Amino acid sequence: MMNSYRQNEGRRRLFIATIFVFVVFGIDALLGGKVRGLVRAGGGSLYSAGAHTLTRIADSGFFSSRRTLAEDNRSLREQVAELEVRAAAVQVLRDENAALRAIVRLAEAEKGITAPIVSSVRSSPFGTFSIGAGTEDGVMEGSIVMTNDAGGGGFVVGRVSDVGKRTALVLELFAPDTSVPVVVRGASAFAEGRGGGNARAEIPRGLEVAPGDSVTSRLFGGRAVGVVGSVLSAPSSATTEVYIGLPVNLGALQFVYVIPPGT
Amino acid sequence: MRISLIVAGVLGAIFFPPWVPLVFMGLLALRYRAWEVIILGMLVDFLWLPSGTLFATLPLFTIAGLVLAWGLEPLRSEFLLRR
Repeated sequence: MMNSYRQNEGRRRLFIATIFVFVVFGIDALLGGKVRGLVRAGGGSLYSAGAHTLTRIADSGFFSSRRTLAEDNRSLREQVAELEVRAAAVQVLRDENAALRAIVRLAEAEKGITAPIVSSVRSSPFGTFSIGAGTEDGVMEGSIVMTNDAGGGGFVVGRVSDVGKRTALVLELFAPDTSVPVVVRGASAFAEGRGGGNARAEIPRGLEVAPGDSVTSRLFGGRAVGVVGSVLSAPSSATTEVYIGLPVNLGALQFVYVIPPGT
Repeated sequence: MRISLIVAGVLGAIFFPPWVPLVFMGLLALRYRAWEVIILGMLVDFLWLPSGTLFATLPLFTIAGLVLAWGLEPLRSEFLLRR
């Protein structure tokens, strides 16, 4: 009798939770995503608090020797990432100058804002992450998110898909199961997103493509979206597989540059 | 034990890769008739699912939570809750 009561009570709770979920999704849809905006703001605060706490613990000296090594390691990684970005950006600018195309304006400073990344970039199953800027800062849906390198030809990281007052959700350009039109050495192709700033594309086999070549997208006004990481070509295939990646580790990024759509 | 799994699931949703909260959801659903699994799934989707694409991108974790909570019900009834 007791066991039966517990089973019924448990099922009743499951049923209520199920109804609750549908109701909350409905309310969120009616309010234009305000509920999820609140959840994201809370998640962002928790993430920032957690990151801050970890920094404080590290700064306390408790793990000093380990921390020094970790700090050196982090610093070197950042330097490597920065140099990779600069090298890739130089390649992009060289291509642009050689072709004398209109996208030379990429080298000019874009009008936008710098925003901090306030969430983990590896936690999302949908290839998204949050930034600490919203409608109050001029961010709008569709805004283009770039690496924090506006003056030297930054790379497009993604696009703002959802905006709150002080936070916004960014959908990575190469999120899993996405397809983006790109241009590699003048050839158009579709890059299939693999997540983590990586993608794969197929181009005609005869085209000479080498690792380090810049990849642009007309969808983003001819801005650079990545560089060729590796090239696989089989004699039996009519196409060449090109693996594209961002020259910077998304996990190492702390700030991004957000520019309005259509600029 | 149940609360620890829930807390770990919530922290996993915010700080760790997506398989971490999924593992804790599975553990919760296997051991308990946990309505929290459904809420945890909804939390992951609300945190990360791009808005406006509810029908283009399915709320996978909410669906997973519902499947785990209701789908494992016969298994729990047979092996765990009768003890």
